[in-house]
Amino acid sequence: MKILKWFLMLSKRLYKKPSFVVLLLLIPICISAFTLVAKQNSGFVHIVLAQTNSKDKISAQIIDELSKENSLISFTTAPSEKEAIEEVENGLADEAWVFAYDTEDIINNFPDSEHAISVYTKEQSVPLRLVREKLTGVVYKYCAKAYYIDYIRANFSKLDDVTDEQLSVYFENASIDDSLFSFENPNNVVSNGTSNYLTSPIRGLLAILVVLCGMAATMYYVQDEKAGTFSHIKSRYKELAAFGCVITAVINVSVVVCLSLFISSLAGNVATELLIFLLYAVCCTSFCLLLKSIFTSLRAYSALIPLLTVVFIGICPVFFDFRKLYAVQMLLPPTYYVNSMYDHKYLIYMGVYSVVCIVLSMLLKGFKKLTFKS
Amino acid sequence: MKNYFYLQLKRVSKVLPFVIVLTVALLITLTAILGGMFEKFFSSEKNQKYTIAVAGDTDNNYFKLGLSAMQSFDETKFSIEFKEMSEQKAQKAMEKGEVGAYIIIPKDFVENALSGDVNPITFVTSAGMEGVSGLFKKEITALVTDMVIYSQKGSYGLYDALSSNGLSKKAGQHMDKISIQYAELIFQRNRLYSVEELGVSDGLSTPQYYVCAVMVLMLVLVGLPFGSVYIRKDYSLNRLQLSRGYPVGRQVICEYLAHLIAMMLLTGVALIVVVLALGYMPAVAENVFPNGMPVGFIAKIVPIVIMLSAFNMMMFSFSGNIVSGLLLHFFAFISMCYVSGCMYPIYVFPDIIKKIGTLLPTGIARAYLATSFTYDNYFNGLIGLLVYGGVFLAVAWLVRLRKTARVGG
Repeated sequence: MKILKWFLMLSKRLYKKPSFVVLLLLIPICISAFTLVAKQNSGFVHIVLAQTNSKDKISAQIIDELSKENSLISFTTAPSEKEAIEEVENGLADEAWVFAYDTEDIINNFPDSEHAISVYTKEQSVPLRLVREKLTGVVYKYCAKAYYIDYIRANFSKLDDVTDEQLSVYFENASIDDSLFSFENPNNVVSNGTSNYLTSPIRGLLAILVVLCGMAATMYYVQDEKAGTFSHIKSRYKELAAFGCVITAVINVSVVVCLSLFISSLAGNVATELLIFLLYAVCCTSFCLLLKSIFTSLRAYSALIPLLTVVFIGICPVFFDFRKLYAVQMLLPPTYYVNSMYDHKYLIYMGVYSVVCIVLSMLLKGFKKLTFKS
Repeated sequence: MKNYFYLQLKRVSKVLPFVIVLTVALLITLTAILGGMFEKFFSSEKNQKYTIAVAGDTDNNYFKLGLSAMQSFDETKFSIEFKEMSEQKAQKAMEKGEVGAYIIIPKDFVENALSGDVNPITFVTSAGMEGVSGLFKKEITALVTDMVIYSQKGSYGLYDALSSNGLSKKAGQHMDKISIQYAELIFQRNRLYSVEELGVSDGLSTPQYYVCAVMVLMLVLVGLPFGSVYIRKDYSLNRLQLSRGYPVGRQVICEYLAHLIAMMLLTGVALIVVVLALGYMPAVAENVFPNGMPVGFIAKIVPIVIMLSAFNMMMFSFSGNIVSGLLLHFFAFISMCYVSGCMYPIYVFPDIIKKIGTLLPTGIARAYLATSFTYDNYFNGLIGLLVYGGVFLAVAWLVRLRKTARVGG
């Protein structure tokens, strides 16, 4: 009961400032709006498609098929070859795929004739090479069918009476199981929203926001302590007061962050999310208090914020997971938050990390007291 | 008024040494991250290859032959590297980042496939934040799936066509023959297209794009520590100044100028560090600044700093305490930078976000800085930055006016 009273009292300090309330309101609004907009058509790689002969049936079919694709690749069309190339030159597209005037003939005679498509690229890269495999995959089905008909025509004059359309039926009706691959992850986690590359960094960015909240709350506590706000608290309880102040701010922001994830359908299982947030609040608080023990000056502490922000964004698995920096990642709280959703052993790591931070913080305090006395 | 300005300079100078040290550290970190990314993704195509481990039943000779042929003759040798290992080793290698994904070949896969019974191959990617192999998993597997399915359709279709037309005796033999020819066809598939590299003309290369994006990101971030100087609960000093005939507007201008000087100093330090860092990374320097760092690049940072300093003043004026101040600043920073293409390239977003992103101050700043590489005359960008700067200062002034009046009242 006493803890709840303290929690409400410390929270009241924060809610007195309208900017804090505005921030808490902005988090769910911005995330929901972004999640909604991110569902619209977009792509990691942009390819512009163009025909040189609008009467060519196969190129029209291929363009139609590619344009309907819902994948990492965004396909758009240009009215002419010139305009498609211009889009690449102006940096509006990564590549232009221009279908030859006689695409149908080239595909039907492949491999005796070649270059049904002219690819204009800005710069060679592996992702673009892989994307071109998409092109060959789509074109290959037409080649395979044409090759099959050619093979029969070349080897079986007995089947000359059978029309191409009739032969096509055998090709189309051949029953093939198309589930050649099944997708898995080591823990078989069904992730919500993380498969969209635009919304997947949101969890990590919100985790960084929570750590920064802890850092700002630490600075607020130090300022207030200097101003004598906590002078009535006995010195042996000062660390507990600092912990209380920081965790109060962290929990307040965490609750809103958690709700925002649920509202925008980015959250997973309710119980897991709540457990992660509770542990993460303790983890962030202990991390911030450890930093406070190292950087005693408020100016140095505040100057640390941009550096840590960049380190969090660049090294933690927010945008890309640089596993080769795993040891450094494990020093930073957002890593535990992001990974614990997919791998529950990180919940234990998070607990251990918090204890280590608290112990280190206490040891540092003790060491400083000793050196001060001597 | 001069005294108030000097007072602000004095206050800022107390934080400045820490911020300069941290800016240098920030830049070294950023350069290391960017340099690492450059080495990993852009330096040579060899380094960009996706590595996929192959585990499971890989003992079949046909399978080994197929894998070896893919790595020697096929177009995929330029984009994917396959490494054979056990499932446990593959999982550990993925955790360490040595491979992007792994595939598990089911038992007797080839033998079953030859009798027309295909057991699915398991494609395993990491569960958390997906790497590039994870993102492109559909593309990687679609390549194999399309080739196998349509080759099989041709082989089985031929068998059915011959069997149904009284040629069943020859069906099996020709099915094997066409299957081998399909394999040859697959290896020649890259002849379906020709590639012409246009090079970068009006657009930016990927490293150049990121240099502009990261520069904007850094300039927004270095303003954060000044929150401890400008965020205040008590406006009694401002009220006193007001009573002495120093209007709120002038006070805001004095504070802004002091902050602008500090930001300019920081930018100068940052540029020196960048130039020194590039000296140690000639490959990166050659790719980003092939003709040396253009003077336009340095000149174009100035209006961006003018605008961002005003943005900082506005954000600090909104806040009544350090918690809401820093969080609001960070939230605004992260939202604006993300949407305006400072983290992911702008073209990966849906159209509506692209439009919003290019209108945001950070979007204009990034596009304006990019013109130092493309030599475009982006006068509207300059006007946009200055207008934003003016608006931010006006808002800061209005908020301060209200707060000073409230404290006074």
